[in-house]
Order: sequence, then C-alpha cells, then structure tokens
Amino acid sequence: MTATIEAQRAPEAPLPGGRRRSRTARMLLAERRTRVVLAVLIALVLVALIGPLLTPYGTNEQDLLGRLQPPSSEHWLGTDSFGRDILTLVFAGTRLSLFAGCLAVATAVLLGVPAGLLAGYRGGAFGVVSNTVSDTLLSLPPLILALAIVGAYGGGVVPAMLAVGVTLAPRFYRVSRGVAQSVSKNSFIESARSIGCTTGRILGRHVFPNVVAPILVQFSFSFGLAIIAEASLSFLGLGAEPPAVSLGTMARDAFTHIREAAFPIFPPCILIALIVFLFSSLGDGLRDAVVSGGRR
Amino acid sequence: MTAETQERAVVGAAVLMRVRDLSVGYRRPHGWVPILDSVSFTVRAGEVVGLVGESGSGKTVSSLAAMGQLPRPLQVSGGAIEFEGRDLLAMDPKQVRKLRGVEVSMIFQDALRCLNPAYTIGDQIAEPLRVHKGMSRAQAHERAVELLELVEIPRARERARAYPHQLSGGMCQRVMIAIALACSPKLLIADEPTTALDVTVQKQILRLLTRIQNEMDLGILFITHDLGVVAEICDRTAVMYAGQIVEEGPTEELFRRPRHPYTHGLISSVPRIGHEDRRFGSIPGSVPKAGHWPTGCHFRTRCPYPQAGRCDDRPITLEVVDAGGPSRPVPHRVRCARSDELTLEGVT
Amino acid sequence: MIRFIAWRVGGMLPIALLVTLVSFLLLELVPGDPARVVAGDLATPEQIEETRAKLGLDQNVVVRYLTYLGDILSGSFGESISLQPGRGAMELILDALPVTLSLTVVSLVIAVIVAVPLGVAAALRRGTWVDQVLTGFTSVSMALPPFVTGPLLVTVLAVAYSLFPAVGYQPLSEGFAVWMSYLFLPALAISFNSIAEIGRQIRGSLIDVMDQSYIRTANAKGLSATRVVGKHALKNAAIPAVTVLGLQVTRVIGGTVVVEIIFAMPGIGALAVNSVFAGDFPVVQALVLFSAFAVLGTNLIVDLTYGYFDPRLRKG
Repeated sequence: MTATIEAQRAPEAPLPGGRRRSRTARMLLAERRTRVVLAVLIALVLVALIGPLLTPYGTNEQDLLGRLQPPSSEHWLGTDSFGRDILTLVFAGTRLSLFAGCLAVATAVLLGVPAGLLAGYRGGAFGVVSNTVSDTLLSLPPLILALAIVGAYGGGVVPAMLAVGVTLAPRFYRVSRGVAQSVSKNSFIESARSIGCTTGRILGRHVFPNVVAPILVQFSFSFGLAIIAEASLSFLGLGAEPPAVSLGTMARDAFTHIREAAFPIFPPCILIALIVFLFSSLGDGLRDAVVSGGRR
Repeated sequence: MTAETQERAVVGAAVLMRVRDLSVGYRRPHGWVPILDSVSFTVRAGEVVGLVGESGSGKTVSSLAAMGQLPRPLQVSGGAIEFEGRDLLAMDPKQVRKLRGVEVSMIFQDALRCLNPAYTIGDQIAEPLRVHKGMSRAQAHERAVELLELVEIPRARERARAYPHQLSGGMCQRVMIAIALACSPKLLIADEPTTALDVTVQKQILRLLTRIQNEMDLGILFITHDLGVVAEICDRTAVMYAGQIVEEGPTEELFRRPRHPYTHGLISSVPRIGHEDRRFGSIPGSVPKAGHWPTGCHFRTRCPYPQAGRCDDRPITLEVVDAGGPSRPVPHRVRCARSDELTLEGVT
Repeated sequence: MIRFIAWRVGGMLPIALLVTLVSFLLLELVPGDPARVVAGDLATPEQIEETRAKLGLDQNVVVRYLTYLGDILSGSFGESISLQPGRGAMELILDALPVTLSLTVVSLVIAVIVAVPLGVAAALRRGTWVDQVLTGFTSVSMALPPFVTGPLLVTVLAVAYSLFPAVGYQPLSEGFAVWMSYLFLPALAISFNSIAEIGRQIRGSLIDVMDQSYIRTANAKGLSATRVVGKHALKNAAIPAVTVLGLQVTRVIGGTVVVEIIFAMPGIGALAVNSVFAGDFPVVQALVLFSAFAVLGTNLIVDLTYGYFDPRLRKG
C-alpha cells in the first residue's frame, strides 16, 4: 500500500507510564502558537454552548415576512429563507457541527486505537487481518462510504457521523500501531511481561501514554475532516435533518436561494473554514511539538 | 611529491589560487562568531598543497570559501581570494559560478552521497560538459566514457549506465574525480576524499590522483586530517588549528623539523612501523569551538610549552623561520611566540 | 516490471475482496425489510415477494454474498431499479465517468501548476516573509473544503460577475475552450485543499533535499541555481510529493460529490447522491466498488512511478 507521509518518529525514548504523562502535556503546549489556537477554540466552544442565552431569538422562530433580510441592527447577520435569525442559527449550527465532529472522531478513536495498539504490540495474524481491514477502509473515499451508509440506513447526523468515524479509524490505527511497534521493542516492556503483567495492563499503562501525543495530533486533523464531512452531508441533504440546524444545512439553504440573497452563504462558510483552520493549526502545532520532542 | 614537481616549484610555476588573510564568520544575536582568522595559502600549478587539521579547524570552510560556496550564514569578513590574479570576492557571483567546475573543481568526502541517486553516473559526468562546453548529448557521453577510463573504472561504457547506489565507495570517488576533471580544470580542491575509504582503496585513489596530476599539471589543494596521506603526496603543507594556519612549509621539512607544538603533537601521534617502541603521543583536550578561542595563541590551552606573558596576551603572527634557498625555494612559516626557543622532535 | 505489477495486484486482492464484502453488507444495513423498500410504498404483498425473490433476498447471507461475488466476477454489477430501471448499474457509472474524470484531472493539474512553484519558492526562501506568506496561504487553503469554495466561487465569479457559467458541463468534443469554461470553477473549488497539501509536501521535501551532499556537488560543478533545483533537487523531492498527489485522488473523489451537485454536473458524485435519494441500491453498491477500485488503481500507478523517480527502488 502506498506509504503514509506522516512519518511517525519517536524522537524521545519512550518512557514507562507515569513519568510520561506530565512531560507530554508540557511538551505539547510548549509553543505559543499552540496555546493561542487552543484558547481560541475553547472560547469558540464556550460561546457556542452558551449561545441560546446570547440571542433573543429561538432557532426555529420563523418570520416568513422577513425572509432573507440583509444584516441589520435587529438581525446582526440577517435572516435565512425562513426568516430565522442567522446569528442564532450560527450558534446552534456550531454546536451541532462540533458535536458531530466529536461523535465521528470518538468512533474513529475507539475503533482504531485499541486495534492499532494490539496489532503493533502483538503483530501476528491479528495484525495482518487488521492491516487489511484498515487498508480497505482507506481505499473507500469517505464521502462515498458515508453516502452509501446513510442511503441504506437512513439519514440523520448520528448514522452519518458513525460512518465518517469508520472511515477515519485507519488513521488512528496506523498511528497507534506504529508507536506500539517501536515502544514494544524496549526493555521495560520485556520486564513488565516477565513479572506477569497482562497484555491489557502493559498496553494500558506503558504503551498507551507514549501514544497519546501522536493521537492528539491525528485527533486535531481528523476533527477538521469530520466537520467538513458532516457539513458536506448536511449540505447535500443527507446529514442533519430538520428541525436540527447545522452549518451544512445553513449553507444548503443559503445556496438554494443564492440568487435572491447572496449574503447568507457567508456566515456558515466562513465559520466552517474558521473551525477547520483552528483544528488544522492545532494539529500542526501539536505535531511540531511531538517531532521536536519539546526541544526548541 | 616527485622530482618533477620540485623542479617546477623551483622554476616558479603560475600561481593558481592565492588566499590572503581570509577571515570568515557569521552573525549571531549576541555578536560575531569567527570561523577563520586571517588564513593565507597559495596553490601553484603542478603542486599538491596539503591543508591539515582536526575537525573544527576550519579546513573545509577555507575550501568552500575559495570556491565561493560558503553556506548561508557564513560570510567573508576580510581578506582576499584570488584565482589567477582575479579577485573572487569582488567578482559577480555569476562570474564565480562560471569558474566552478571549469577552472576550479572540488571533490568531497563520502562520494556515494555526493552523487545524485536519481541519475546515471554517465549523465552526471556528461553534465558539466554539456552545460559548460556546449557538447551535444552524444559527444558528452562519449567523453564521459573516456573520463571513466581515465579514472581506471573497468568496463567503462557499461558502467556509465549504472546508478551511484550500484557502485562501491572507491568507485564513486573515482566517478567524482571524473566529474571534477571533465572540463580540464587547472585547480582541484580535494576535501578529505579518502577519509571514508578503507586503506587499500585509499592508496589506489591517491595513486590515481598523483598520476592525473602529473599528466594534467594540475594544482591540488588536498584537505585532510590524515598525516600519512599528507606525507605521501603533498609537496607543501599548511597546518590549521582553530581557524588559523599555525605552520606551513615543505612537507618533508614539517615532518623532519616541526616548529609548532601542534604540528609536533600531530606528527607524534602517527604510529610508524619499525618504531613500535616509541610512545604514542596524543594531544590532551579538544579543539576550542569557534568563537571560544583563547586570547593570544589559540593553541595555548593544549600546548605543552605555554609561557605567560608571551603566549596569552596578544595575537600571534605567522612568521618566516626559514626562507629556504635556491634548492628549496618554499619558505617555512610558523605562528608561535616561542618558535625560536623550542626544539621539537620530528620524524624522518 | 510485469512481475512487480502482478505482485502488487496480488497484494491488493484481499482488500478488493473486503471491499466487495463492505459493498454487499450495505444492503444489510437497510432497516426493516429491504424488499419492501426496494419495491416501493405502493407495492402489493405479491410484488414485494416478487422483488424479494428477484433480489435473492430469500436466501441466507452467505449464499447471497457468494452470489453477489460471483456476479461481480462475471462482470454483472446489478441493474438500476429506480433511476433508470433496467439499465446496468455499471453502465450508468460509465456514462457519468467522463465528467468526473475531466473534473479530477483538471483539478489535479491546477493543483500541481500552483503548488509546485509555491512549494519551491517557500523552500528556497525558507524563513523569509515569502515563506511565511506562502505557508500561511496553504494553512488557510487546507481549511477551504470544496463545499465552501464552491458556493463562494459561484457567488462571486458566476452570479455576480458572470465570468463563468454557473452550472452544467460540456464534453471535450464541443471544443477545448467550452469544455474548460464549464470545468474551471468546479475544478478550482476542489483544488484548494490539494494545493495546500502538495505545496506543503514539496516545501518540506525540497528543504530536506537541498541539505543533501549531492546538491553541494551540483553547485561545485558550477551549475545555475535553476538547474540545481530544477534538475537535481526536484527529481529527488518528487517521491513524497507524488505520494501526496496520489492521496489527493481519494480526496478529490469525495470533493466531486459536493461540487457536482453545486455546479449541476452529471458526474459520478451526482450519481451517488441521486441514487441515494432514489433508493437505487444496486447503483450505490456499484459506486462503492467502483470508487474503491479507482483508488486502488491509482495507488498502484503511484507505486509504479516511484521506480522512475528513485532508481534505488527498482527491482533488480
């Protein structure tokens, strides 16, 4: 299979469990850029969460006489084709998009990481089989698979995001496997085994903490991809279903009425781009931190 | 080091490269870091000049500067580099580039890595011919095969289609030499070309270089830390330490009667067959890093004969200790405050 | 060479097999009674049973899978049941293929034309403001998925200024300029992400390559900077870039889904969406198979090009 570009180098010697944790946190946050991006993201999440308190309108308050209004003092971002306040919808949409992203990435992590750790540590038949499964998933374009699953099972954010999660799992699988393989060569693993530690304990206590950092990097990048996937699916009408509002459904609505009003397309698009940009930057910052091992 | 070359030196062959008081360094936030301090040397047609020193002494930087190939942060802060009378530092970089590969060529250590893995060795030898001499593809390729034969690579025509990774280290170095000689340069700078090779291959390469040098009347600047190699092929040698030339003169003279404690230390540390009873000298300590040179003599912290008041307060200059004579027209210079007092043991 | 291809294809067989399994299992996901879903809301119980028998749904899973596999191996990929009833699913895909192929190719070409100079400039001027601007641009580009760039491009260039047609597609047979005018905006929309990834990769690997000893040799030969970078450096920096280019195919296929809908182009992406809405399962299944095989095929081609770029990788 074609090789991954993300070279998984382990620049620092892997350490046994406990000592790893605090070092990792400090190392990852060493760069200022990372801290800034993280702060902005957290702010974004908070704003989205407390959104309903900030605006006087409900997400489904329609005002059919005042549809597609440009921004004004009453509606800071104008209204959509149902007359709903776009600013309110932005908060709701961001919430849903973030939730969708979490769902997809959580699925990917739960599927990919344990399998990857085990495959890297043990290898053998399990390794071969899971490699094949992973490669198979990688050959399926995420959107096509998500479409197919949604088409078969039915729409809605949840099945769509589970499907996206499945397509993202191979990334986590590969990262975990790579790190597990290199960590397993170390002597402290040997000693753990010789005193009778079970595989689970070894993986959990000793291998996993070394994997955390690269996984967090993947997490950031994958989150961006998941958000894009959810938005695309909703844009096509196959993701979030009314009355749920996501940034994708907002874009769909705006695009359908593009010739009547041009403005509504901008808020959801800009917001998606912003969120993805933040997660990408976070991923970059974390990756730089991992690669340089915290050394400046 | 043959009678022929000695004779040419007597007659006063053309000076190919003259480096005068060259200083190089780079700028850091907290100041200027010097790498070379007033380095001077000359290479004439037909002679092999050795530049010896440990790693960190500045030998490679000197040669890169001579080619106008100083890597980015490094800058020339003083002095002159002249090739056949022309000041390279005053020239347009494009003009300097025109000299490279045509009048002055360079070969490096670890030849395998110095060859592009994506192209055949024939292509890589032909390239300077096509670019600088305007040869057609076929002509250049033909000449490339001739050059491969010149550097004694068997089955040259077949081998021209090989890729670098298919050749041994010694062969790669021969290919490098072929590339360097493609446009018949006047001066060849060889930066540790035999260091990564094993002893028998080393000897072959040195023999090859000597033969070619005689045939083409090439001037060679041979950079190395290996005194055995120096003894073998260099007519004249300059010894570098911590960014300065500390001694220079005819090679034979340097070995027979070294005038600088560092040179003496280097020579003593070379094992010699037949003298197993001699103690193996070595110089304690290590070369001070650029920018952390001791005041006064750079060597004084490792020297067995320092004298307070003379070796540590002011910069020591390079002085002639033996101007030579009609049979030995090459002066012997030393940078040592105590050179007239010390008697150092040499080897024969 | 043939042996290499055969070996790689052989390695892909288990994956191909699993792909057929995935595509087969899709139908299992359908909640409720698939026969009823396929037959439609107005079907009578007899019609539903007919459909069930026709789809082979009355047999157990293993038999059904093996039948499915057998069909595929003999070249039969099912028939469309709702979009264009009676026509072979693969036929519909092949009809739509030229559109998507054009889109993919033009998009990748745009990406390479923009990304290579960008990556090279950023690498050669590493650390300067040029590098920072270009790297910033790629960072932002990464965050512009087709479904953001598409509507924005349409709004600005097609609706507001009418520079390009907003919808539709004309085949190459209608003339290059016409073909390109319909393709340019959608291809551009997809290419932003690819520009970012390819540009970054080229920058990274060029920086690594420029530090190599053979570049010093090339300079010592007195070659011009253009030649050193263009001939010596780029060939060696190409491999990771080609890998990234290969990975773009998967991404672009996903991108075409959204873009074809936005620009109303009758390509494979649009077919995918339409067949999902129409409940045309055989077509959906065939699409999954097709896109997976397209990706696998592209990977194979990418692997083959490695041998060109790095002679060390050639067998024997």
